[in-house]
Amino acid sequence: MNSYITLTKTFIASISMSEPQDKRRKIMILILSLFAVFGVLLPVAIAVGILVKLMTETLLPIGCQALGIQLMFHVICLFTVIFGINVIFNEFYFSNDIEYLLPWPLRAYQIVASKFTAAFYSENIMQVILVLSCIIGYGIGSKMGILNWILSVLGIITLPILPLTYCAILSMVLMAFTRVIRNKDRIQKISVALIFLMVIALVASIGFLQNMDIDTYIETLASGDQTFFKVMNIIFPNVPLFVKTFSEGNIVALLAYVVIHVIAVGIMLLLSEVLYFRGVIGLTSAGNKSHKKSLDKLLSQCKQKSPAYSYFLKEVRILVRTPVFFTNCIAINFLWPIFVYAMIKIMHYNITLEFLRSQYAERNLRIQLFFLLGIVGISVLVAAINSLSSNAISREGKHFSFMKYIPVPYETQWNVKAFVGILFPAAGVLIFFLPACIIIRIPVVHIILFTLLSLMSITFVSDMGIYIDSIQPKLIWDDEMSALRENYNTFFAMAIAIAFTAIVCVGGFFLFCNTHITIGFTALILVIILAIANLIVLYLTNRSGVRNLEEQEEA
Amino acid sequence: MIQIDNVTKTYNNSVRAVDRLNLTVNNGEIVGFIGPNGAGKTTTIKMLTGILKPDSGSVIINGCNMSTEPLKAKQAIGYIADSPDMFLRLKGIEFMNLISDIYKVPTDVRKERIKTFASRFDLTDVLDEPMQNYSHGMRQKMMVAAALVHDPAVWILDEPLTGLDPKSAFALKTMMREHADAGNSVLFSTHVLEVAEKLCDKVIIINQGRTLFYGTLDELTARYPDMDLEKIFLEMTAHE
Repeated sequence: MNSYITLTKTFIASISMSEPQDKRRKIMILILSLFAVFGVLLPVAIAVGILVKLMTETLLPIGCQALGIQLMFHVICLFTVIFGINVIFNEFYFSNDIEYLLPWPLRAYQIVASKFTAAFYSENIMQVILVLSCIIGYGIGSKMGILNWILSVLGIITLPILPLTYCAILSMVLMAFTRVIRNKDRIQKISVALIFLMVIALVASIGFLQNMDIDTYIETLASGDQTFFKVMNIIFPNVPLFVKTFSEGNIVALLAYVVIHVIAVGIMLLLSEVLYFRGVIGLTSAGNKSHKKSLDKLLSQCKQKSPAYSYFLKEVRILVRTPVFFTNCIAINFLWPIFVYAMIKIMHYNITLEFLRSQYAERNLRIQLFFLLGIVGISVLVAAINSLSSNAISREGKHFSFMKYIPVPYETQWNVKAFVGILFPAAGVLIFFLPACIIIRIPVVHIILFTLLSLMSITFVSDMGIYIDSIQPKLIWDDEMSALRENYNTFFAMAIAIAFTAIVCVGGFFLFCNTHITIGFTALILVIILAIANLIVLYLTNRSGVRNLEEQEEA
Repeated sequence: MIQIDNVTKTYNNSVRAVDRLNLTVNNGEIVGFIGPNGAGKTTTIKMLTGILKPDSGSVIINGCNMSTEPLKAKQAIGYIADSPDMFLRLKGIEFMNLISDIYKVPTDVRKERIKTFASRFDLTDVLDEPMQNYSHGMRQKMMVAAALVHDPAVWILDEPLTGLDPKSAFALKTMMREHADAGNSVLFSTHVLEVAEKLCDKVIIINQGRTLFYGTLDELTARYPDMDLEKIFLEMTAHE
């Protein structure tokens, strides 16, 4: 038990980011934290709470009031599995501390239990907020009693345990039987590809389900068809038990909930004794050695390049060759059409390319507005989700000192990193958007305008991300995944991007619909807003960005 | 030439890692930087290379002040960090080219130097492999080769011999001597007193950020007759 506690404390300590030393940075981090919490996190939590309250009130007359919150918990559990599997894989098998742990006299279950707790800790913060807001929404909607409120406390923290246990068991089983592939990179690539496929399948299936709106869904429930729930209750039995516990005050359900978790964790620990060392021992980082060129051939290819271009190549090579960075920072830029497709289907828009072409030709202003605001929203969100810029300095990790001792101005290094942060999302957005524009026969002037808006949006997010990361980069990390997921800067940048998109797109929509401004004027306003946003970030960068780098004292 | 005047560095406003340190490494000299763990060697080296900013005092490399002309000062330095695990996703040749580009080494010159280093450090067969395939020693050799590819006037080496095999260690020591004899300066930190004894023109011994001794080995042994370097070191640092 002592080993477990010590190890867990150590792992959790390594997750947390170091605090800034000087007052200026402390204030900036505080401002960003307050903005992220009050500007984005709380509004999202409130929206989820209101949604659950509405579902509860709608389902109350037919006696199924708990089904709404149950659905939300199932979705939370499902997403915990999807996002958790990558985290568990990295925590269990790919973090750098493994090679130090293996020679120690530790049992497999001690390592697995500690690493599981650390992964649970790092993944749990967002879930806690969502679960809590669901319960508050349900409690208000169903006018829950005091005892029920008390009973609901247990599940707020423990709900993600079962989904994460599934991830742990799955990862141990898979790793134990991948003895042929002992290469960490290859396994990471395969596992991440599988996760991507899962996400794509999930999102696409949402798109295919035409009746996934809440009204039709409630009608389906009222008609007695609860197939979805039956399946999900088998996969996540913790959800109905937890819901029963606090909605009905059912103590038996509470006991069953506890027993299920004890059994699941017990199975995970028992399996770890059989499978963990089998999977983790012998993993290697060594790459492919074949097709080596001779020294003469290599030297004949040597050619002097500018420091900035060479630095750019270094950035790109590391991003492309590191599986975690490749999937989370590069490949993700090219997935947005699937999400847009799913969103269109969920919102019941019957949009085809033919429809868009005819509407655009007929100068349907709403369609033009859809493109205008859509390109800004997509560009901002894609550039923020990839974390390329909000992780640009943290990514250096223990090599951060390299940035400081080479004779390359900080401004040049900054600009190269910003350019990388612009290049990939711009490619990801425009590679689909421009052909779509051509197919829809959008006028060239409009295409140029959309491209300009897209680039301005991406530049804003890229520069903003690096600026945020420069304030307090996360330079101590065990594996690349930690540099991304345990880095608050990526979260701050995402929060600002979401808020910016909401204000610009929703604001732009209401402005256009409720006033008599023309589409051309709306476009002009967007250009001005983006120009101002870029100028603000540029001002901040010039004022203190490089100073942040100069004053940053390594990991 | 390396010149440190009254340099002080405090971490978190509480731990004084380096305290009013003075040091001059003249052209043609190899100076060994010796001290127990946590004495302030690496902090000093990091201030010399521009990684850390001193709280007070000045660092001058080949006549360029690190705080006012950082790029010129950095251009003159060949620096080997204490950890060779850098950019492991890059191939050896890519890393050499990156460093060559950063220090603006012309194509023909770099080809010649890469060839020389590859042969001296037995790197020829691994240059086309990602550095994550390398052993610790191999990575260290790559760091040495990359740090010196622009033929810097000033070498600042943090524990450069750690992990090197005897042949490579010998090659590096020979290169250090040749470099100093050609009128350049070399400062390197080490825990191996025998290396300092055989290689250095002068040594600086520091503890708790302060200089305990700076001078030639003859001056040091004259101060402590009948004692070898190891005992002198232990004696000096024990009294701190």
